[in-house]
Amino acid sequence: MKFVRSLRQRDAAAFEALVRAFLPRVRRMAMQYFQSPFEQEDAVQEAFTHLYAHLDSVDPLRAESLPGWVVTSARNRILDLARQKRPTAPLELTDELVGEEEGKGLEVVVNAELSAVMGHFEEKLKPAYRPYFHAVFIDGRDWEEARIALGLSRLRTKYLKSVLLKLLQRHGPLLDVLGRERSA
Amino acid sequence: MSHVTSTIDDVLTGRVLSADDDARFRAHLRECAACKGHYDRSAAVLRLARGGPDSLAPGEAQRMEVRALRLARPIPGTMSFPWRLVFAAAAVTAAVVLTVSAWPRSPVGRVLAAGVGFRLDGAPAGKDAVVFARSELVTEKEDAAVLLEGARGRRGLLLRPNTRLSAASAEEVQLEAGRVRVQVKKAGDPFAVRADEVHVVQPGAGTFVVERRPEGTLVAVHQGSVLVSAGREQVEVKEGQETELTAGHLAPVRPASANALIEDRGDGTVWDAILRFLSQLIDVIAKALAGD
Repeated sequence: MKFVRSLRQRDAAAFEALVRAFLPRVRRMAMQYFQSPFEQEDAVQEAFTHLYAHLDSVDPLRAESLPGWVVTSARNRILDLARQKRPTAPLELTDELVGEEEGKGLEVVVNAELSAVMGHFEEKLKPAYRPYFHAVFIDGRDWEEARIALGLSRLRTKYLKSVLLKLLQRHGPLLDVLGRERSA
Repeated sequence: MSHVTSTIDDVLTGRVLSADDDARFRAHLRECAACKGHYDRSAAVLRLARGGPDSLAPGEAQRMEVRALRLARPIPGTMSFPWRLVFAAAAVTAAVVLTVSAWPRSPVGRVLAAGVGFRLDGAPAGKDAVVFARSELVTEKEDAAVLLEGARGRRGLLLRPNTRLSAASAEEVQLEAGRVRVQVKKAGDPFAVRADEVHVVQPGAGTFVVERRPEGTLVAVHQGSVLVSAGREQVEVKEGQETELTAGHLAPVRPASANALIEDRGDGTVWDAILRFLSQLIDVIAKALAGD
């Protein structure tokens, strides 16, 4: 109840908690309707902008309805955007949970191939680049988190990030997987 | 607005833009298919590298969170008319000063090996130090090896003792004093060395040296060829040849003298010990060019 009241008053901490809690679901919804990562990020931003603008419509007496309200409002906004982008394409209202299950067979194949590709990529890396690569791409740390964990200077990290991104952008086997994944 | 490829790479590797810059950046991407394509490809590659097409790329969640959380920031109060103008003018002035004095520089390469006295932007530096655009590199009594790396091409530079050189970019350097040997293994974008009035352009693979001397500037080619221009004069210098700018004119191309290509050919006598050391640095450059 108190949380919903804080949200209605546009309390920054409450909204931050809401964003952190629902970002993965809103992102999944955006991925269902947009292929381009840039457009997905735009759609996520638009969805949260829409939620923020309509926070006063959350019923303070029905706190349990908040998750449903967030998901439905975000999905409607994303659908509107998708329709604006592709007015002629038929777009169906689907539960985003269904989207989570779709394409799992392909994903398993892609993941096995990717593991091999990335393993080979790491092997070919200069030893000096490997720890940072491993921390970010294998251990799943954020860029900055990995820098702190490895005790690297900001300057060195800037260089490592630039080199790793360029190497990945040019890595033929990874681009092959990307090409197949896009055409699938 | 020109393409924002480097900003895209910065953003995807964790740089947080200010709200205004972010809005301008994303507005540009909505209009520019090339930049949006680069963003999408790079983001997709980072997601794949994290384990799959739906994986979160490093920094992706933080980027979306920052943008969403900005919605909840308090809106700054507006000011009355004269103060707003005064502050706007001050902000513009500060922005101009900051832009000129602290424009962020992008990395263009790194130091492969350096001896005592080597300085990068005025500070002592050693192996693996990052060379940024507009960095100044200075050697004292010992040589240094540097790799410059651009989007299309790698160049290995051997800076001889008492050399001062600034790296305008990964594709161009300015030799202020001393001697530099440039080696390119695979053809990419042309590489240029400016030295006083001389402009040397290497269009493909090869090795050449440029040396500033009291009497003029020498250019000699060990492998490949370079175009040398000074004012309206231009000559092509091919393998085993040299030219020199003296008294404002380029000398006719001639066979390289014994000392012109000392790093690669030597003279078979007193230089042997020095050449052994130089060949080690040249090996370091060759390995870096090959990506080892």
